Amino acid sequence: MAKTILAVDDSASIRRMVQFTLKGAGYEVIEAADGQEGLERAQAMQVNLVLTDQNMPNMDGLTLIRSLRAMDSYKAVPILVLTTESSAEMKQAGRTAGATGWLVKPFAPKGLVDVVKKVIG
Amino acid sequence: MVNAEQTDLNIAQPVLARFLEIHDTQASNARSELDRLRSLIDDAAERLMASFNEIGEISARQVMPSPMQDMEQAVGEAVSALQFQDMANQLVGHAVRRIELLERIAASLTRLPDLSEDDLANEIAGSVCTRPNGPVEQACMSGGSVDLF
Repeated sequence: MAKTILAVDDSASIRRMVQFTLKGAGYEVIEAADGQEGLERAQAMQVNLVLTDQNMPNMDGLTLIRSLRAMDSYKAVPILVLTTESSAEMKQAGRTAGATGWLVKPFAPKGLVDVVKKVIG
Repeated sequence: MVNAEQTDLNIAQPVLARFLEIHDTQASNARSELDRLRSLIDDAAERLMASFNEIGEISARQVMPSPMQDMEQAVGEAVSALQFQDMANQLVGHAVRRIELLERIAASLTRLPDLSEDDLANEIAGSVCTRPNGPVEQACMSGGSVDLF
């Protein structure tokens, strides 16, 4: 059975590119347009990996990560941040919030698939 | 819109009026240009995405002989490049916010007779953008870095 990835990003084109890349590698991908919707989708359905943007309306990525890490069912689920933010300070903030990794946009499809395979197989 | 005639300054009233007039015109033009840029980007991305999806569906249906693997690589590069819309929109949004800050500062200037120096300094300090570089520092569309913690 295909592993499910929740892609959270307010940009439809990024969600489309993530969907295209990860579906092509055999994963199931569900989408959310901001952190709040991402949290609701994660609560409604257990996923194997969360891939989230940082700068989004309603709820940003770091807040989403903290909210997920506060849930028993998401304490051990890998969470990757995919963002334009590339500063050491933001990466450290992501790590402190509980992120598993930090990917700076734009992503290369092979690089994204390699990282996802590494963290969830 | 800022109106210098509303102020009661003793100093350089014509200069301030001219400054505010130029500021308003330039800010308004810059905002219109950024709006047009955003529309162009959105339209281009929509059209590119439709073509891209079609190519992706065709390539997924076919067994790829060796020369076709070049196409797979080209599709991969397109996936990276098509992320420009998100990055460009973030930059445009940040530039618009900078214009809004300038407009707030200019509006504060028109209230000078009613504002103490401290109030004005506080308003300006409160309007200063705390992110000098904005959320996007990338200048090209090659793949970004990966850090696993």
